[in-house]
Amino acid sequence: MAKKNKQAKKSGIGFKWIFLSVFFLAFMIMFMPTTFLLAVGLLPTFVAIAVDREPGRNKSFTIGAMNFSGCFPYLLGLWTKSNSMDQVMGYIADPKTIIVMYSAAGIGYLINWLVTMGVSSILVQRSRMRIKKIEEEKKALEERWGKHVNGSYDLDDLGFIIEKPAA
Amino acid sequence: MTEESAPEEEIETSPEDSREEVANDTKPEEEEKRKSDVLLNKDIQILYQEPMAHLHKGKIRAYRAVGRNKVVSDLVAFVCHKSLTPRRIASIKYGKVANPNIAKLVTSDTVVWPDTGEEHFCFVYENTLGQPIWKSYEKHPALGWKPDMVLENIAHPIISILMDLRDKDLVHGEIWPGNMFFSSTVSSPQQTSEKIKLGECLAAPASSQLPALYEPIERALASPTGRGGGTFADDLYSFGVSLAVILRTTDTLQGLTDEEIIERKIEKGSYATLIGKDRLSGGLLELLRGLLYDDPLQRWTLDDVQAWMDGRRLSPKQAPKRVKATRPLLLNNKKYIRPELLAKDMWRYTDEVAKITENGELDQWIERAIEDKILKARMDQLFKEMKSIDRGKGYPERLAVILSTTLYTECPVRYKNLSFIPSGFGKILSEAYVQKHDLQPYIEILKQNFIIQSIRNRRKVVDSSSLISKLDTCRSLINQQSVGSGLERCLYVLDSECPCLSPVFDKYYVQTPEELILAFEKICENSKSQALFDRHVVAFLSVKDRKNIDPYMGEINSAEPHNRVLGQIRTLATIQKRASLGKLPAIAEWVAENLEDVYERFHDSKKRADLREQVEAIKKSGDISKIAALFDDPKLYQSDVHAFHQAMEEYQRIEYEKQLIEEKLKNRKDYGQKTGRQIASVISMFLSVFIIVVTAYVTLMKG
Repeated sequence: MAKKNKQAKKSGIGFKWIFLSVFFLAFMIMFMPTTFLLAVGLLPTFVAIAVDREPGRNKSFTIGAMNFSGCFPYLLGLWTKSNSMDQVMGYIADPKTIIVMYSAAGIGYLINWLVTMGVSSILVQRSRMRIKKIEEEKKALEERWGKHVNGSYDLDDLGFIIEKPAA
Repeated sequence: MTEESAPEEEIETSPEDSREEVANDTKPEEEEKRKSDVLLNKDIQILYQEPMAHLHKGKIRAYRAVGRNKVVSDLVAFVCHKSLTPRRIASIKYGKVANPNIAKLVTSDTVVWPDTGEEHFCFVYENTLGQPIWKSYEKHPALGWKPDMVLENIAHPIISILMDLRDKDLVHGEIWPGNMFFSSTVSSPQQTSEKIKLGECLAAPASSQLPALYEPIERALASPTGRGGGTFADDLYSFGVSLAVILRTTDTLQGLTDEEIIERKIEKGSYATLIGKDRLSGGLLELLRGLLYDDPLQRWTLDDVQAWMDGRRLSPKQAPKRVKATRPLLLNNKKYIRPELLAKDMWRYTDEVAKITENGELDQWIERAIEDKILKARMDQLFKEMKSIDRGKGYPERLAVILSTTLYTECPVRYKNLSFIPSGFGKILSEAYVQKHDLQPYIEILKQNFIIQSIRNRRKVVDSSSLISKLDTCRSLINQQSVGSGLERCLYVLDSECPCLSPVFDKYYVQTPEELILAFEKICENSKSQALFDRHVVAFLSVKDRKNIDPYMGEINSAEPHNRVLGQIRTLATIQKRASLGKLPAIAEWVAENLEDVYERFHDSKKRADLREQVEAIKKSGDISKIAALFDDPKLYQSDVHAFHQAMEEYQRIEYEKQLIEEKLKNRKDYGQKTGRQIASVISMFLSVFIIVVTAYVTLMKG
């Protein structure tokens, strides 16, 4: 019975991917100019996705979002004008287009680097302050309760240090 | 408690001071002298620079004293010595004796002596005592007075005194010519017809100031302090000896030591020893013979004396002859034919005694040379029991004691250099403590059964069951090391009138728990760091009144300092409360200074500070109970321990947190990266949306 369910589950997962693949393929064919423009314009994003191993792929998202915003004016131009392959080729052939698209991706890389660095420094600083605070709290506890509050001494039931007999 | 004399301005302001006028007109030298006089309550002043040498008795000193207001003005104060326990309990009975021929007791109390600053107990009497009829302790009198004079001026007064004392159940213990006084400065009986006065007998243990000559044989063998309380029969003997030496014309004992006199008494009897070849008139002869019987059971009683005074002639008692051996026993090259003489010397030659006992020589001598079946039976029983005697260290000394008290049942216990009647052991023990003698022999005596055995051998011992009970108690106490037990407790059990002999009270005379606390108060005024409770103090308090200290004995004996301190504080609080003593600020201050070990029992330093504040606030009130109550609540300690455990947990928690952070910081490069990227993605998202919206708007507007 479990084996049958597993097989059923496996065939379910496979069918879904096939359906999505077919749908995506159909979409590409129907919207070939847009697809081609995005395929070229979002190249930095594809590279980022391929390189980024972090769970959640936040870096890829950062780069991808900026990359897409760089592609969008040309997408909009494509959709409002001829929406043809010729127009796409015209855009791609223009160096300015590639510069804009890829610069936007670059800004994405920059945002990722700067923000990550900044946040990391702040967190490190906060941690160091917390450690300092902890040391102060420990000292205060020792001053109030005695050095044996640190648990490194043998204590009796009432919490007093057990004096070891002299040798 | 008394203090040195008040400064002059205090005397002037006292409206009841009858000497106020004299004080006002006093010259500076006299004023200075008066300032240093000793005040015993507000009515009696002891002139410590005016000793009365003719009344001095050994270590006891007599001083002129002056009474004021309703008190008789001409007084004499006898200042006691700490090594001689005064007879305070007997003084209550003595004070009720209304006989004109005995020193009349006015009062007794503790005074501070000016030159040493030490407290001494003293008795104050009316000064009706002139010169003693005999002044020397070393030489013995042979005054040769006329019998009629002796009968009228000495015998009758003494007999009436003895009767009054008997009515009060009080033994005098110091009847001898050195304690008999003319009532004026006249020194010859021919010049006065006044009766003599008998001096005081309370400033030292009974009989301790009496020369050995005036004691019956068995008491004379004991050391002066170890003679015990004595009996009426002993007083009568002393009286008889006094009469004998006053009447006789020659001293037949001149040059003899006390020991030699005792030996002669044993050989010849007291009467023959004292009177010798003196011929006395028939009137007093009978009295003397009756009083000087060596056997106390044969000796005249007061009733016999009264009958004699009434003119009735008593049938003469045949004094039983002392047992005499048919052949001598040789001990240390000395021949003994009397068991009493042998018994009294056994302590000197213990090794030889052991030898003649082990080889049967002593047994043979008793069996063959002494025809006394009772003695033989006693010794046989002893020889049987000897098999169980430990033959370890000290065996010859122990054997000598047991043999001597069995051979001569009335012999004092003579062990090493000690010699005492059973009831006198407490007094010699207190004397040994004060004089700082070696106490080991006393410990050995208590561990053995010597004294009880001696009591059981004797014919009669006053209050023997009580004494045996005390000695049994001491035998178990002596082996206990805890504070409150040991030899110190035995001291106060056996000598109930002994003051506290703790070194803490070097300058004080403490007789009751209340006086002890008041002495503590004075000591604490001068020093806060001094330890107050030692073995003597604890034993003294426990013996005097168990309720004061016994509930806290466990704490006082605790190995933990804080428990000891709390036990001491609770004891002080209990005594203060029970005696309604009022404020004791100096002791409260001492308590506050000595609570460190108790504070250390609290983990929480804030709680400690809080308790310290409370103690500081209370100590000014001098109420020790309130201070003790601060530490009585068990919840105080429980909550502290609980809070401490919580603090420990908190400590562990933040330590763990720190370790986690430090662990993360080791990978400094990757620290915060994930969070940074997440934030970057959000920023990027918002920025891209903004760009898209703006682009769309601009494009659509153009279009």
